[in-house]
Amino acid sequence: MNRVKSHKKILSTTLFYIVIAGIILVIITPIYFLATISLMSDQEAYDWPTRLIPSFFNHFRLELSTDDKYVIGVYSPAKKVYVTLLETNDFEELQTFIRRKTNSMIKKDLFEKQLEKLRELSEKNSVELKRIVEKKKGLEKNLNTLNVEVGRLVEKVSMAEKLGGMEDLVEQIKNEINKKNIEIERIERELKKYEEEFDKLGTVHFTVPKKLLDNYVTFFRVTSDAFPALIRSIEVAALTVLISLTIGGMAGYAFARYTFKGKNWLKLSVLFVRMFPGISIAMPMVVILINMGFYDKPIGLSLVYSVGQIGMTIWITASIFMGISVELEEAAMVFGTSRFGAFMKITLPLALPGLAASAMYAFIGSWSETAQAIVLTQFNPTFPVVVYQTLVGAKGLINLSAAGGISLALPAVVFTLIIRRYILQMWGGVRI
Amino acid sequence: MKGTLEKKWIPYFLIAPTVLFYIIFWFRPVLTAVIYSFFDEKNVFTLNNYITIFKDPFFKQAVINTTIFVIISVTLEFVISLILALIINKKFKGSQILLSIALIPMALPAVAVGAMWSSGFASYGWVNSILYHLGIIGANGKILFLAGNDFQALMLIILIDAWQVIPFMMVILLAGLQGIPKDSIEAGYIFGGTKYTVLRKITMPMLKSSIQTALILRIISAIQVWLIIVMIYGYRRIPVLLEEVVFYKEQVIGFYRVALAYSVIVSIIVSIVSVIYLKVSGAFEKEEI
Repeated sequence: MNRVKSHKKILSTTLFYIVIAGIILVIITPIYFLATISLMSDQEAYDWPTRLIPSFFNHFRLELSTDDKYVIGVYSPAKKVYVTLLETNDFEELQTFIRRKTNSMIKKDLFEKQLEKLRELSEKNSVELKRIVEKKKGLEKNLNTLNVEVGRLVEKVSMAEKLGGMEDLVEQIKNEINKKNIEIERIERELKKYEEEFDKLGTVHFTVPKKLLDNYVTFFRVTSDAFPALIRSIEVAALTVLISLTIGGMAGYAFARYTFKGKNWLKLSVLFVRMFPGISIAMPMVVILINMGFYDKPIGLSLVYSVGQIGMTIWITASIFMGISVELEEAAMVFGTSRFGAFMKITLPLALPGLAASAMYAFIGSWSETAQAIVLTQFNPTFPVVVYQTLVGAKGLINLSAAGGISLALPAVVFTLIIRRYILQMWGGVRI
Repeated sequence: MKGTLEKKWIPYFLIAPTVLFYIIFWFRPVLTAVIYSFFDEKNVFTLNNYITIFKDPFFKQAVINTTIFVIISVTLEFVISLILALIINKKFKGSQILLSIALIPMALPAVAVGAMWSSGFASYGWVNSILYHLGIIGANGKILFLAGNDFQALMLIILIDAWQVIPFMMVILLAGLQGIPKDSIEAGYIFGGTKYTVLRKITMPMLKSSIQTALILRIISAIQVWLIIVMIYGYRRIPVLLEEVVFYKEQVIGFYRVALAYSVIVSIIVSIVSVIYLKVSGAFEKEEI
């Protein structure tokens, strides 16, 4: 009996942890891929199927072309072949193009050494190479004709099948298609053999490390707004914290310690404020802020953000102050301190960690806000707006916007994890 | 006594800045928006802004889509987050790690989430790549996630949204669960309650206020969904209410007041729904703490 029970227990525990692992997987996977894509070059990010881990090196292949030009290709792990990237005779052009496409910086001396090696190799094997190239050309031509023929035959079959009643003919054509397909396969195999031979005799290979964080560098360099926008976002968030914590913190204290008329309304204000969409507040706010001279400035944005944050701050700070007993304050007052003095000397120091957490919460909210910022900024966008424009706008490269998204998300996630312990406590005191 | 005299004005003094701030930076723009929505550019009273909206075929579609979105997403998210909160509250080995991980989606800015999923659901994106590496689809079998019909598109948005919102609701519910005294649960078991009856008769009623908080905040934000839709699908692919507001504001010129009228409609809808919810759930009846 006991053993059955313990078996059951082991089974249910295992099942439980499998479910937990599943949940973690669902949460982590998208984040992992966003991070992965942010480390991928254009060439990798748009290569199908995308690899599950970013590569750290790029393998290049160089071959000579006509007119003193050369062709450079990069190895695609997904397709398992070298993909041709560029045909040129200008090293500068090659360097910039390869940098942009693969995030690898090819050094000049390395490249020249490889080119010299290639020239020597081609000279040595010139007779062989000529033969291979000619053979290849012939085979490719054959392959093309065959493909066209098969295409025509397939069309014929489908037409015949539509008309019906010509089973013999259909059978005959199908046989022919099969035969041709076998021929195509044979030619392809042969071509591959020549391809390999050519690869050995007429090309050089070299490997260059990939600059892993190149997308981040590019994101901040190409989107020229990104860095000032980052600073601006920090400014806006800091101002929002300052405004909402002083104003909301006072109300939160009143909420925790006193009864007064309209207390319930104040408590529900966080809801009422949210009922009018934030973006709709932002539209008339443009005019109001222009009149105040705050439009398109960090202070203007933080005033608007504070509307949403104050209500939350009241809830959170009220729950923090409620957690600190009134008796402590009263005891201090018995010893002759004023109410304000008691607050400053007793309650505030005790509430400080909680208040810091509340400040971080407001900081994250303001840091991440995008919708209102889209309306309320014109020439001085905040960081989320810059990322949004990269994502939605014409620039839209997924690896670049991923890099922007990660740089935006990182501080928010770190802050949230720092205040993790307080988040539950904060929400614990909230009651509608 | 001096103390009582003091007490009368202190709370009002403390809440005065909040009230003032709300009046200047919330009530004033709201009032401006409402007034502007009834006037045209030449300051002549008109209902044209509203008539434009009601005549717009996208309006009906937006109302339908928003309704579907709110009903399905709120139900789905509430059920899953309640289950998750009950699981994490068990205090098993690693529950703190799970909580930390679960907080990450909540912390992610909307734009980062947009970048994440639009790179995921692109035909060459990572979702297809995972399916390929797992051997579920072939190299030529890419699933075109974003090309589905309207209903499928809406479901996709609901899933994406749920991924981010569930942790938020879970945190509120978990906070509520941790506030329930252990004794009352134990008492339930002592008096012969099964797991299910304890959950139904003790845990859930004591969790009521947290559930109310989570649901009302979620309903309000669910009606106002738009950014994630625009980031994944662009404007007017799946029209929802607030997306239409932004469409009129940002994408077409000269419809500023129509956008304001739209905002007024949206906030009326939000208010009606929230007030109904608060009435039904009994939040108004409670006395002040």
